[in-house]
Amino acid sequence: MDVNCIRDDFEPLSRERNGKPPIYFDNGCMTLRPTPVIKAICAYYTQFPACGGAGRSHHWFAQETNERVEAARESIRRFLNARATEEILFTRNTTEGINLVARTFPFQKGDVVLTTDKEHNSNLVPWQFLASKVGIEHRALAVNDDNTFDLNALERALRDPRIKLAAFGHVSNLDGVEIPAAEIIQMCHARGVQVLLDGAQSIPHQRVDAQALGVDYLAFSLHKMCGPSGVGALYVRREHYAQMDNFLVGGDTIRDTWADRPPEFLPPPYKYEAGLQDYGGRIGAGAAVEYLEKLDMDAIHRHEMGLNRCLTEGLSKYEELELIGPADPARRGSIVCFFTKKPGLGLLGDMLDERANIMVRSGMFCVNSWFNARRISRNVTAVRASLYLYNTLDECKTFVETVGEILADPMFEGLPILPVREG
Amino acid sequence: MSDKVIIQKFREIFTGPSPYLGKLQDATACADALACRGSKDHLYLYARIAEERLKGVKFECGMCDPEMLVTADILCRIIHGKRVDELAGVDWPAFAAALGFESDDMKAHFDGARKVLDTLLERHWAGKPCEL
Repeated sequence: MDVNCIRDDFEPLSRERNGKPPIYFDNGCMTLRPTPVIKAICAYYTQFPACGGAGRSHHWFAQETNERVEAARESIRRFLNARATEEILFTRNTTEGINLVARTFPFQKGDVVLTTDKEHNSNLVPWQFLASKVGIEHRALAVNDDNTFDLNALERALRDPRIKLAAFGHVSNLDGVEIPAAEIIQMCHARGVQVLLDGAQSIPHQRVDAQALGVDYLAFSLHKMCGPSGVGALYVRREHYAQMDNFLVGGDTIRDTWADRPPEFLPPPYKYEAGLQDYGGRIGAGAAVEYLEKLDMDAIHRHEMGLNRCLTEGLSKYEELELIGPADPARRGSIVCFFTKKPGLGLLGDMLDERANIMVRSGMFCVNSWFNARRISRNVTAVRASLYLYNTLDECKTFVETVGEILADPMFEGLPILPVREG
Repeated sequence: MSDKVIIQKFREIFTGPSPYLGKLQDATACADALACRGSKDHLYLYARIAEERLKGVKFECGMCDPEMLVTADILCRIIHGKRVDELAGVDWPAFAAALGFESDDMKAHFDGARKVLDTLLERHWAGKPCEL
């Protein structure tokens, strides 16, 4: 994988501020987009910017729109090795995909949904909301002390026949830890429990084969994998469509309607894609997965692991920082997240940006429940560097050096190291 | 000049350390908010109010800049021991006098912290327990 060549495809990387290039380490939130994706989106708006959808226009531009959107759906199917194109639903993002499952799954009052206690809010709040609305129970499995998945706890939990769905983040956006998805799915299926994976942080970074995994639902966001903002996808194993309720309904979901009797819905995936859609975004999404396919996902994964090792080794020497998750970088994929334990280092993210154009994320990364359950002190701050295919070892070295310069600033000299946890 | 004062006061909060820094375990009222528009300063204020007097007060600050930390510390110092009905008088002139200088930036930080204090008082009057 020629990273320098790849970087030429990402125009924002050629910018400068104060004579320095950007170092974009906020890929866990959103990645940059390569030129082919921008061109694909532009082609829609400049060449055939018309309505798509089954029940709408049928002219030249509309046909071209539909053809390109369905080609994008097929590209995503191929990328995931799903069996059929109809197993791919377009959504706005991972959150919407998870909500779609939450609202359409045939839950009965008293059914249990299982997650871990380290889920993104997108895979927590929908279940809490459902618990308050329809009387399901949400149960959270505690992860191990090093944030890895506890298979023994799952085995014990699965003895409860009321568990109907297990919904887990495949790779954590907090620390990059991957759960043993294949084993988990096997265990769940043996007990008749379906599995939803939040693939937001896995699918952009490694090969994920939906059929090989046997996963039932797989939600992810294209804007975390070189695609446009606000476009996501949900893989649904097609046999599950028969049990699923409708989600949003209205235009484009129906074959026919009458004023005095119920509507006749289109088959999936269209019955789940209501209203006029982001056709340009979907076409861009197709271009994004085609771009990644050409690069080889295994090579991307290896590249990110090398970068992670560099950052981990560099940051480990600073006593002011405490890594979140396993010490071994090979177990944290593309993410290096750490607590800053010196007063004032809550601003580390801002300082990195000001000094060296290094863009990272600070805060709780939408995993508030993990922080709150562990009584993390509010006077320490977590900073996350999340890597992607266009990042380089030189950028990682600059990151480590700049962190070191900031820590050596006289402003912090002699200040105490704060405890990470209360009490 | 003002920057140096802020950095000095910021350092004193932690080298002291300030008695107002940290969580107040027996707080009867509390509030939190992003204290300044467009910033990441997340200020948590805790108070133990008995007989309508602030018998205890502390703060925590997530991702706060030194200005916010200094603001919160000074505000706590000013309000500690005051009666609840005296808090209306804790305004910018009173704060600036304690700070020792005036600046638009510090006024913005004070305004943000003052709003968190107002929320805390509203929660106290509404009888809402501290759940932070």
